[in-house]
Amino acid sequence: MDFSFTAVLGKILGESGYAGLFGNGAEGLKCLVMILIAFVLLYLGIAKKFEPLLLVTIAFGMLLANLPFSNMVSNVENDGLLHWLYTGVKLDIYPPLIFMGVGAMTDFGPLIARPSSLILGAAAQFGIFTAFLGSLLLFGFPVNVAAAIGIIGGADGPTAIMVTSKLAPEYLSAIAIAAYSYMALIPMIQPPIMKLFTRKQDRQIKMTQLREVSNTEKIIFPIAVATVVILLLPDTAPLIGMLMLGNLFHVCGVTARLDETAQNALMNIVTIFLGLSVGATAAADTFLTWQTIQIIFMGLVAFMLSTFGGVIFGDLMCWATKGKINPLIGSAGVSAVPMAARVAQIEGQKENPSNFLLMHAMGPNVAGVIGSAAAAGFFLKLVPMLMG
Amino acid sequence: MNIGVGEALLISLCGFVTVFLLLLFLIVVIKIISTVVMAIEGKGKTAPAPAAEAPAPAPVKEEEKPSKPWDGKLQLIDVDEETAACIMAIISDETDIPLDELQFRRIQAL
Repeated sequence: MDFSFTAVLGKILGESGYAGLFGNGAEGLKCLVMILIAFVLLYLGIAKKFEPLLLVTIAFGMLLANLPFSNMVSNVENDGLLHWLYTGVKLDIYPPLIFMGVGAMTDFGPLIARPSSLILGAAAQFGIFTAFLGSLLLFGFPVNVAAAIGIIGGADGPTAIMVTSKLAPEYLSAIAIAAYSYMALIPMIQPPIMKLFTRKQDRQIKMTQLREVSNTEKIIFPIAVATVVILLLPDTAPLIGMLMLGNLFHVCGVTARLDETAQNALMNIVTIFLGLSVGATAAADTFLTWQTIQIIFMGLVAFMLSTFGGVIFGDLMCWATKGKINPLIGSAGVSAVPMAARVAQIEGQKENPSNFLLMHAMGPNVAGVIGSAAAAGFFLKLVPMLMG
Repeated sequence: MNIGVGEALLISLCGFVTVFLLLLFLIVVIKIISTVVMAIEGKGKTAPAPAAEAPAPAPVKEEEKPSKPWDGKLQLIDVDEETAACIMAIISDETDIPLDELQFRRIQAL
């Protein structure tokens, strides 16, 4: 056998990712751009703490998938690790499991104490349907893609991922990245809209303390909501079902171990799998397009309009209750638990330092989760019908 | 598949209304649950035990009654000075009223 050091070195370099990046023309250049985008997202996640749990994982998945010849997604002989992890997205396994963790971490007490919060949770889905309309009419997206873009306005990552993976999987990475990036930017996106559409004296309203909710009510709530909502919109079953199951673990008092697992271990494991596999779908061919920019733009519009819808209904409820409801809590109707509720608290306290809106805003906030899941169920039912 | 303006508007409106109706329905469900649970639990709480007699209300101590006009001095009843200082500081902080603008007449342990 002939052995030549230079030949071996040449072979290693020729088959290396560097050759794929710099010796592969336009394809290599596209991969290079995707790698740079992954670096930027990693920076935003780590240095700026933009939804770091998901953005760091998505960005690293994107990096791995775009390193030439890494075979993380697929190669000639077999499919790579990230391909197999992606089956959890394709088969709708990860988003519902994340919802189970969210349910286990959520206290629905404020919503049970003031059920009218659900109106604000519904109003804040305004952005979903207007962004859907805008995507159809302004940019000419097909109805399935428009529905997936619209759902960004729900400010709920798992819901956006689930709807997109079913209706428009080719845009999954763009929509997931837009959804999580805007969720991280809520403290910047929402306050100007909240101030623009509310009066100063209304923003200063101090709300009365919520009544104490009994444990029996808390236990019946997830069982009743799962039954009522799923019977009406069966397509919401994976999301609402798991959300309410997680909550039942949390409140029933006899499943502490399951509650702990759903909140921590399971949630963390699924977050890693979900983030990596979503990031891995960010292939240059589908990501580096004008459609991605349009999606990111419409995602922002959806977020803003959802906040607008919530705040306007907050104003209406303030008027209807003769000043008992602070309209700022309407903005928390976009899901993004608990970030949106925190923004309402911060803005309320800026206007009146003795104001504590957090618990009042948690009602619309968790109502928003149910609202966006309902909107998702609507699209999942309607779009296949429209597309024949 | 692309659809027309009218149809797109109708779908959006229909979706928004569906979400609203669903959540309005949930309001009704939650109200019913709360009413029933509170009625049952309230009954359980208010039903007196047949053998047990309700305790007689504690007699109001003489010193609790404002017998004379306030003399400007803080009255501490079963509370040491350190605890009273903590309570005043917390109230001042929570209400954002400076201590020199707050008037405490009496602090009593219950």
